[in-house]
Amino acid sequence: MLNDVSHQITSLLVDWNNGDTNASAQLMPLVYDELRRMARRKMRREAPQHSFQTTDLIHEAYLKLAKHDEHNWQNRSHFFGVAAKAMRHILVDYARSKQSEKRGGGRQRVPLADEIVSGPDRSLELVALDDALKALEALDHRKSQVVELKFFGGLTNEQISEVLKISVETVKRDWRFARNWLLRELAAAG
Amino acid sequence: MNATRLKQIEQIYHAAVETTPAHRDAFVSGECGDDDVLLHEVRSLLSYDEISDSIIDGSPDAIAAEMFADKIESEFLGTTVGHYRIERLIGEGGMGKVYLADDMLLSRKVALKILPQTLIEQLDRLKRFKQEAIAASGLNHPNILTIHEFGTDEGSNYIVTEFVDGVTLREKIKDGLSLKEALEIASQVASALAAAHSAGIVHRDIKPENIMIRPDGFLKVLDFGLAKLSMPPELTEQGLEAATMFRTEPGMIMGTPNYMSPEQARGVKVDGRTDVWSLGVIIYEMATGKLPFAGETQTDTLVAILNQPVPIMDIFERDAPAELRRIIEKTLAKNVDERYTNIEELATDLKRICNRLEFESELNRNQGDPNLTNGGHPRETVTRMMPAADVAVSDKQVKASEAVADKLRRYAFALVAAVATFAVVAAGIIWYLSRPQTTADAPAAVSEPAQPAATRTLTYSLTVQSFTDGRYKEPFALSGEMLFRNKDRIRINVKGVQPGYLYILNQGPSDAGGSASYNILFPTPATNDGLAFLSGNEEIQIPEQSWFELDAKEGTELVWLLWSEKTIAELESAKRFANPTDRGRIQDPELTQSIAALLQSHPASGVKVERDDAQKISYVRASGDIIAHAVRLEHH
Repeated sequence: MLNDVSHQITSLLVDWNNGDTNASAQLMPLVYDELRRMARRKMRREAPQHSFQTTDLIHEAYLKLAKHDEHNWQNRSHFFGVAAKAMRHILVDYARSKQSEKRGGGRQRVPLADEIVSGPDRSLELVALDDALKALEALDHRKSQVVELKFFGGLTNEQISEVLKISVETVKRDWRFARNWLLRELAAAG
Repeated sequence: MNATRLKQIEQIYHAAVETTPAHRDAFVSGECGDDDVLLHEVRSLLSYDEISDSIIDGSPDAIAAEMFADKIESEFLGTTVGHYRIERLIGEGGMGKVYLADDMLLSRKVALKILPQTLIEQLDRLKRFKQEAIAASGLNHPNILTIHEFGTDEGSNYIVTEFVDGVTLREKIKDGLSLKEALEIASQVASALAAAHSAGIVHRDIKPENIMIRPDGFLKVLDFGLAKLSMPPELTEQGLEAATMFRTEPGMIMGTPNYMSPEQARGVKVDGRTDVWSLGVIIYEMATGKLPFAGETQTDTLVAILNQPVPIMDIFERDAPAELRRIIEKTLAKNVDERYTNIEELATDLKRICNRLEFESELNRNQGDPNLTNGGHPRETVTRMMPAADVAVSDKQVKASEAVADKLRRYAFALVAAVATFAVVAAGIIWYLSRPQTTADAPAAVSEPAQPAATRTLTYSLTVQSFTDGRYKEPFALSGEMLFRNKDRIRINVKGVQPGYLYILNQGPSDAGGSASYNILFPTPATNDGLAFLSGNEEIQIPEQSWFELDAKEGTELVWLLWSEKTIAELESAKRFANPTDRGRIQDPELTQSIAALLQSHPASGVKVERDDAQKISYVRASGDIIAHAVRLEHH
């Protein structure tokens, strides 16, 4: 049978809501692809200078999916949780591929122009941040989730508290500490 | 470090944050006791409270934009927008990117411009722009770019126009133009504008970038109606132009105010005479290689446009005829009432100088060597645009006295009208010759309306995204068969040549001995507002903003395309299952039976299917009021 993918995402969200933990794993690649496709479409069809907002993208993706089904708040926070993770993967995958390209794997580059134009290398920073976040995850999983939701998903403290089922106060404390911890890791690595 | 140690650090950190800054360090030292490593950890973490603009404090937006932009261009090439395959980027401006694309239905090269996403919320403006652009294109003027189609794909608006294989006037000016070339260009532009103005359309953004010149010298004026769209809506509502139109939207590529008329610079109401001014600036630039009004900044330029007289002396550095000075002064009059009221007059004046130059060079040549016939002369001095005049002149070139020349001039003016007609006819012929060749099995024929009345034609193609090695690959177009695997995704693109009613059903692989079951894929509330009706040549994508994914059940998936002159009652009744709960599955056994009967009563044998593998399109034709055709998707 041919299934509409949008329906599939919503039904996986419902399954997840009903306690099917496997649904989350199935959801990831779908949301990843959806966001990547939407991001590309946005980028290729608008002037690149046009402001690009990852948060808007996630919200658009959600609205598009919500249109296909009735939704509730639970579904919504689940979706944002998955979307933040998907966004992290998308960005970090791009950043890593750019890094390996620079190491000589990919296209030929004009070194001088490259240095002048690009300024601080953001893709390098992002890869370092992802590594630091993985280290944090091993020590304190919840804190790494807070960072993921806030930084990659653009969620507010209130939304994060919904997704992780913790108080807003805890979200704030986690963020403050995790932020400093990550910055110190980055400084040590760089 | 381990998790316990991290907890310990965190506790002291949070407690320290609660203390006043003056007592903080003493507090931390006290808490850590003689554990120097712990003390160092907490102190260094506290120090990051001072930093406020780190990478984590921002959003990843800039990084995302930078990285996507880096990758996107190359990935976009080769993909499809509507039924166009993107080949390469050929231009970029504030109002979107222009690509060379391949029209897969009609096998021709087109230019495809994608309009900025921001316009989607401004439907009224977009509609007015479309009307104006189509009206200009509909004039069928040989010097106005033809618009083939306005389309939307995944929420983006695009315009498809004829593709002009040439260079912009900007590039021509850079290379340098002869006076005669300049005059020919100006008179073609004037001719295009005259036609537009008489239809009530003002271009508003005439500049060398909007004029494409083919290698044979024939030119096309681009982007009618677009200038209005690039201005802030509140100004165009009032019919006003704005000096600020070039710096309104942050991030938009800035245009140049060099060709702006004084009334545009002042932001007052404009009419066709603003185009007269802009063309005047271009004529000046072509004749002298310089801009008449230019300043270091945009504001300086605007001030020059409003206040400075035309630096007319430059023109005589190039031996331009005195009449050109008069033309330039009249086109660049600050007061609109002193300008040409009618661009037709400007066109006539330009042609007059054109002809004079031509005759003078003709006369000079004959005087220089009276025995030589025309065939012995270098052809490049002959006006390319006016082959008819050229022939006529060579027949009449016997005596070169002033009197005869005068008579010839008068004759030539009469020819101007004839030449204009010739240009239209010539354009028609060029179009005819450059049309895609139609052969016996050529699907391109479907674009022509002259089909036998009873035949219905439907075209379809599939867009496929295959799932390999755990990820989805770039989508590609497919005309018909391939072996699908689990999780592969498809989208169906269907176009009915005639108006009619379209229904699409999916019949999954039936269980052993079980009867068939159907899902309705089109129409659904999400596509075409739940209506089956399509106007002629309307293309739809199903699902519109998503994909169909093949489920785990293997076998042959049938996608039934039903294309009918009238509504089909059974399928209208099946539409009620197109809801999120039923997911299109037709749950009513009686209805399922009558649909099965309907599909059997329209056997596929009456339907002729032609597949164009090069263009990735299939054509389904049949006579009768209903075409029913099953696309087979083999899934194993």
